[in-house]
Amino acid sequence: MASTVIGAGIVIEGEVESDEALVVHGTIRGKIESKESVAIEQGATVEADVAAREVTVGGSLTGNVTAEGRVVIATGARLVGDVKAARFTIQDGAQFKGHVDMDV
Amino acid sequence: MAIPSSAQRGAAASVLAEGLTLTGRIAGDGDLEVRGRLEGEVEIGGELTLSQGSLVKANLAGARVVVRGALVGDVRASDSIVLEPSARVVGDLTAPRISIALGAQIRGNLDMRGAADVDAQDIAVTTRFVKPAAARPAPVAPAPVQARPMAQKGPITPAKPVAVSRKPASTPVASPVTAAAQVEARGTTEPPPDAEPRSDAARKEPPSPVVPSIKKGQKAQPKRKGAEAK
Repeated sequence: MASTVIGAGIVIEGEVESDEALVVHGTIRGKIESKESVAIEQGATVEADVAAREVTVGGSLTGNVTAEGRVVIATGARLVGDVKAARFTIQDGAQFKGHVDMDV
Repeated sequence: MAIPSSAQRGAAASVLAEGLTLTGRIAGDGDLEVRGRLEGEVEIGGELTLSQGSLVKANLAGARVVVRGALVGDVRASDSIVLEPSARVVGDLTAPRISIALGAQIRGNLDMRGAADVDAQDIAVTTRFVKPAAARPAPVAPAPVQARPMAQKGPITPAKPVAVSRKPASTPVASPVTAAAQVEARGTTEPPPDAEPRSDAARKEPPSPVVPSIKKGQKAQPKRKGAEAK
């Protein structure tokens, strides 16, 4: 279980920086940085640029994503923004609009 | 995943871990536990816990607020505020019920006027004499609480203006030379400095010229002067 959890009823406006993993069920507007993984769960709404080692999108994300590792857009999720990552997965049924840069 | 207390309310719990730094505003329902750094503003419908080791610089509002870390900012709770022994707080507390454990440190005003008691004002404890803090209007209104920290810092440094007021005392002898002799006669070489040295001079000056200038039988002089001027 991730050490930081943003609950479903929570709205954050601002910048979030974390050394540890971050799980978002609620809403974040602003900016997210994490040295570990960021998981945007189903039902979550994030309007922010996300920079992390690993990003998993299950909800709705609007913003650019930068990851050293893997980026996953899960089924039913929605991502609008550019993705820069070493590995990138779009699962069946996911929505995505934006550029992809896999540093080739 | 959920912490039991939040599960009771049906809202998910939120935890901001040790390594997390958040700058901005947090709002919403449910519980929130802060273990890391937080700067901004928090408004939570449930229980807000600042864990030991947390550093928070924000105005907080919640149903119940428990402080075990360091906090700079005002706290407003609809139910209660609890300061645990490890709490370090600089700011005002407003809640119907406030608990301060032995060892907790706080600098600020406590306001328990939200209590059901009629004369809750009498119960309100003031740990510091800042201003008539009891003059707060409605206990529920959030505005005065936020304005408080500014007001606190004002009276802490009152010493400076005094030094400024002393300066004029060193230059009161500016009285005109003509009046010097009379001043000596009266023995008021050093008039009360702070008042108005010039007013004294004004009193002394007129008599000296007036008396000799007008002599008997010299009615013609004023006429000549007037004629010359014209």
